[in-house]
This record gives sequence, C-alpha cells and structure tokens, in this order.
Amino acid sequence: MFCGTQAKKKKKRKKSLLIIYPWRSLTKQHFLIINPLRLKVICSFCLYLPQLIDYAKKGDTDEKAMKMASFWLTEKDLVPKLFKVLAPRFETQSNGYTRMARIPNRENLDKAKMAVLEYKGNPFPPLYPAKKENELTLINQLLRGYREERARR
Amino acid sequence: MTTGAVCRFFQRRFASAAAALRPSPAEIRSHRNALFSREQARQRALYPRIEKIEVSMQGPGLDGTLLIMNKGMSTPLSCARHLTEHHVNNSALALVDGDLWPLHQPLTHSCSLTLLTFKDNDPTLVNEAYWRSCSALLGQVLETAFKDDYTVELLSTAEVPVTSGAFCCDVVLDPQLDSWTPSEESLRSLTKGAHQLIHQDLAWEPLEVAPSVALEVFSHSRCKQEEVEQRASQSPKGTLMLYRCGDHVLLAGGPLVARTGQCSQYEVTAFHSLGQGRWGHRRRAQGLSLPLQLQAHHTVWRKLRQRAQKLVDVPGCEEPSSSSSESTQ
Repeated sequence: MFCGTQAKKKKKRKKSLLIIYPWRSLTKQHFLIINPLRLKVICSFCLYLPQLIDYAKKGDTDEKAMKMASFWLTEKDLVPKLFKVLAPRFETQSNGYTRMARIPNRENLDKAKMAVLEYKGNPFPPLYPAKKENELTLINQLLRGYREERARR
Repeated sequence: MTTGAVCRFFQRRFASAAAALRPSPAEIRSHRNALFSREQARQRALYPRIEKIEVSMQGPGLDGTLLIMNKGMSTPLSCARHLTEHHVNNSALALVDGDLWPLHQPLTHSCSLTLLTFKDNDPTLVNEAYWRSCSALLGQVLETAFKDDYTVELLSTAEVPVTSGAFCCDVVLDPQLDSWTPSEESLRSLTKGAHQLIHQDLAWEPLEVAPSVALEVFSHSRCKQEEVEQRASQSPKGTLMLYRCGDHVLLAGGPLVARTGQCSQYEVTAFHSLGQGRWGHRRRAQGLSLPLQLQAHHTVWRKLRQRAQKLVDVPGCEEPSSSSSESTQ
C-alpha cells in the first residue's frame, strides 16, 4: 500500500508541469499531508521533486541518475523531459524549484483544501498575475497634470 | 416736485412692466422641459411597431454575444441590463460601430456594441465625457442657485483637457451681481447643491434634434441660440444633441456619461472673474470631481483641489473685449 501510494503521488507529480493536489489529514486514505501552508513540510512530502532534479542535473549519461529517473518516473516519456527540459532550466539554482499556491476548497461535500504545485519557469500564465497600474485613468491623469505643474514651478 | 414724483412713478411702472415681460427662470425651465418632452415623444412615435435589431456585444468576456433588442427603444443601458449588474453600474459610455453613443440613447440599427468604463485600458474618451458631464452639472447648479430676480446665462465653454486639473463653466450673471465676489461659504453651498443632484441620481437623457427645434427650445436666450447655430454649422449631420437632467435642458459638445450618481467626490473649487465680454461680466466657475469607481484618498484630494483653485486657461476661448479694470465698478 505504501508503494502504491508513493507511485500514485509520483505519477501525479510528473504528469505535467501544473498539478493539483488535494491536501487532507493523515487519517484519510490516499494522500499524506500535513499543513499545506508550510513549505518545509511540503518539501518533505514532495521530497523527491528537488532530489530528482538534482539527480537529473548530473546528466543522462550518468548511470545512477538514469536508474533513479526510470525507477521513480512510471511514465517513460517523461524521462527525456526531465533530463532535457527541467534539468537545464534549474542549472543555476540549487533549490526552490517549485511554487505552491492555494486555490478555493473543493466543491465536493468534503470541502478539502486544494493547492496548486508547479515548477518555476513554466510556460503557463502566472499563478499570481502582476497587477498593472493603468496610467490613463482619470485620477492618474489628474495626478500627472499635478506633477507636471509642480515640476514647472 | 410733482414732475419728479410723476417721473419716478412712471419709471417704477415701466420697470415692473419690463420685469414682467421677461419670464422668470422657473418659467423658462418649464418651457424648455415641455419642448424637450414633446420632441422626445415625437421621436419615439416614429417607431409605432416593435421591430427587432441584432446587437453583438464586444468586450472582455463578451465577444460575440448576440442580443435581440427593439429598434428605436432599446438603449445600450438595456443591453447592459441583459448582462450583469456590474455592467449596469460601471459602464459610462458606449461605442456603437466605433462611434461614441450615450448610454440612454436608443439604438436604431443592428450594430456592434462596446460598453466603456472608467477602468478600461484606454479610458481617454470616457474621461473627456466625464469632464464634460461635470461641467454640465456645474452649469445646472449655477442656473438654479440664484434667486429668481437674477438672470444667469451659461456660455459655451471650450473643451478642457483632464490634465489641466479642473473643469470649468463660463457664466454671465445678472448686472446687479457685477460687484459680488463669492466667498468660501457660497462655494460650499454650490457644492452642496451639486451633491444633492448627485444624490438624486438623475439620468442625462440625450436627444438628437434639428437646429430649428433647438432654437425654439432656447428662444429666451440669444447667447444660447448663437451657440446652437455655431454647433449646427460644425456638426457633420447638421443635428444637435440636447441633454436633459431632471428638468434642466442643456446643450453639450459631446456625449455625457449615464447618470449624475456616477460622480462621487465633487467640489466647486473657484469662481474667477474674467472681465467684460460680449454678453456682460464673464465669470468662470471651476470644479473638481472623481467618479464612484476611482475615489481618491483625502490627502490626494486636498492636493488636487488646491491645484483646481487656480485659473484654468481654456485655449481658443473668446478674449474679453475691455480690460479687467473696467469690470470692477
């Protein structure tokens, strides 16, 4: 059961760059988690994410790295993705490969806490979109006129 | 002595007769209102049967939404009512096939409609319309603020850019008030009058009329009639847009926003003397306002208000004929 759970976790993790995990207490069955808001604990849960990247950084010619990757990654088409895409992306960094953002609770009866776990540097739109201040709104135009007049004085 | 008394008697009789000939502001207002309603009813009667038009909405999240509306009766506001409350409260203007269209003006043909708000990526047109509406509101406040004994003439103000800091309304007061300078208290009471209008949340009803109808509406005011002729000569279609707010009819140079309730912070900041003009002693009333969706913190408001007290130079406005020293007597 332990292996099964691990495999399930890993399968979900490597399936795509953007994954959604339900976070529940230890008493419930499938997923292990404790407090989704503490990154330290998350890293212990997805302990394999950074360690797998570290192995991948050794290169695909390295035998140990290839053995690890092919063991833990059940979907074999993701193994070249790990070595060719993810490892070069995080070459300069030593940690901090992932980001987590909490999303609204699940719609089901259990109202489980939900979060999104993603690798940084992915091509998808950002989880926290940057809010741009619009220079052309009425109040900004008035303030612009005010600033220009102050500068002229 | 008797001749003097007789002269004074006749002077008083003639003076009262002259005053009786000139209608009171309330009568003028009701006359304009009645003509406006009559023209509005006539234009509505041009569509006796309900015909349907197709309006396709453009905008974020709305692209391609097709609405079936009534010809000559449905306005962009009624299209917004089919969408959400957010659209109803936040839209200030509409773009119909690329032309600016006031929110309360009925749609006459199948078109593409975009609702414009204050927080769009490019709200320049909405800002200009808002500034025009605030200026119109100031004009309405000034017309109703004085007692019935004094006449108030609103002159046509050229468009002021938003960056100048304040919107203005040029006005010529009764000759009896030439020596009157407004105090802080009077500015504050004008502000209160404006806030009352804002609180009533009156809609600016647009009406496209022929110049002859506009000349009839403004038959009591020579200055306004000249403005009507000037605008009619400049407009491409030869028609004018009249707006009615409550019971006050006004002429505007472009589209106005939907309702007075869309302004939230509004203050009349200054009342400058410009000197003698063609119609009398010209004065410029200035104000500052911000819409409901873009409210300013009181520190920011104070700074902008201080700037709005300075005289705003309107480019291309008619210069006073005589120097300002002659005006103060």
